[in-house]
Amino acid sequence: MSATPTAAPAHPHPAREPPDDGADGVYPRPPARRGPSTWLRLVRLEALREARGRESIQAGLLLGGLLILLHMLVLGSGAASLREGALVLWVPLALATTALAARAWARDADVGALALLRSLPASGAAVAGARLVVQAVLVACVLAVSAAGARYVFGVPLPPQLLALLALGAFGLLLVASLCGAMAAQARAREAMLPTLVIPLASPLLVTAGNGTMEALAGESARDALLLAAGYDLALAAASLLLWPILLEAE
Amino acid sequence: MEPAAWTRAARATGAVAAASLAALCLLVWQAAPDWSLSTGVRAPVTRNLLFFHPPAAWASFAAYATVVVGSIAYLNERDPRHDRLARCAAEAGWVLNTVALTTGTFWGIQEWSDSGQSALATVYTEPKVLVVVVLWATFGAYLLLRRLVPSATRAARLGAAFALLGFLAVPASFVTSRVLTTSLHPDIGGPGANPDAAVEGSVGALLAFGAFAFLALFVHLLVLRLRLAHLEDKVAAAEDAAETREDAGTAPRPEAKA
Repeated sequence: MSATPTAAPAHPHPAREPPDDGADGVYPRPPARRGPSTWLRLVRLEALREARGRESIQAGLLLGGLLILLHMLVLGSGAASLREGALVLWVPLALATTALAARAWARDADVGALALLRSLPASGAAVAGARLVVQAVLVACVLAVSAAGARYVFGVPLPPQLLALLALGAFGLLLVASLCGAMAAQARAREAMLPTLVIPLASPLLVTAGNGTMEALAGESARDALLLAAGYDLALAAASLLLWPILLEAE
Repeated sequence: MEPAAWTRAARATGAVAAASLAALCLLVWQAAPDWSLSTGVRAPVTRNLLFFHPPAAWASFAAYATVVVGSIAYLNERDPRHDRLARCAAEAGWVLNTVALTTGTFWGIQEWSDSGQSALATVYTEPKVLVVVVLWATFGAYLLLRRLVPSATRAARLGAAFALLGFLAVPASFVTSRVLTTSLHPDIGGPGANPDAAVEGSVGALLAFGAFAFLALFVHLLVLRLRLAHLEDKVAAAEDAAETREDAGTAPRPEAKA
């Protein structure tokens, strides 16, 4: 009895064709899966990638620490005035958050992983949201270092409303920096492009943060600044949901 | 549109813009009030920049609104013509924005020079000026992004996304600066107008004519830039076609010399 050839069973995860134009090519995208389990897997994947490379946290902490040191050299230690207090709190936080958020996108562009990200079976908003969750944890570390530097080196008091403003400001800066980092990673001269893109978009937050910090340090109510920062964060989050699929779209 | 039609449009809009700007200069020279007689005016000569500075700013706002409309249309339909409109309007708007900033700086330095700090710092931390500076920086970054992204479709997509994000930052800057700080800037149409912002009949009419002249200038710059972009696209298409022919080995050979 001769054995009749039978078709091999379909593999559950068929091999995908590699991109035809090198690092920035396009993989065929499987249908997007939705649901919390898919998203949690993406968060885990992102956390694992950061735990292996530690590039984002190193970039953020290194730049934040260097900026605190720079402020120490220029301003000297001791009690800071209201303006200096706002400066030593927000400049390290803003620049370190930008470096941290953009590093992940720059790394993906360097190793050609943007095409892989685009091919993940999830929407662009879900992929970017997972990255933002991990980066939010890292930004909290940078925020702790910046606040500790301001408190213990420059003697800046940290009343609760200032801490709330720092948290809102850091979240807004993370959203702006992550969006701009994804754009700059797809451009030439991205080191120059990144601050050029971030600073205009972050300016409402920075104006709010500076004014609110001086009010809080002077013992006044910073309610207006808190409301403005929360409003801008909400608007940015809504815009991010719309824009992430466009930024991570395959060509 | 055919190249001849673009040329006709550029000539027509150019004639309207040149005539209206010349008429504006003449009217300001002849009919503007003598500010040196007004109380509370510190810089009567540079005060005449009033007829150029707000119209240039309004025309730049119109240009940026065109960028946003073009970007939304591009993201919806992925038609390169919408992207071309957005890109060209951004360039024209940025030029007009620079005119508004420059004229405003000359006036502000003289008018606000007694506020206790450096005149330039006073001008550029003034809430309304800050919004215009943010706009200028935002659309400057937009133009740079367009230039530094290698692929045309990617540049169009990223540019449209950044334009939308940038337009979000503008009202936010405006609200932020208005809520958190007090403004020295005259507010011609707003509810929180300064006393020196009241506009009399003749000044209002001149200002309206200035707005028309600068809008005509914006339309002319836009038509010129669109015409150039149209030509650029044709050259790029011809280059692509020549490369394709070369790759296929069907490029026409030059005639052999006898």
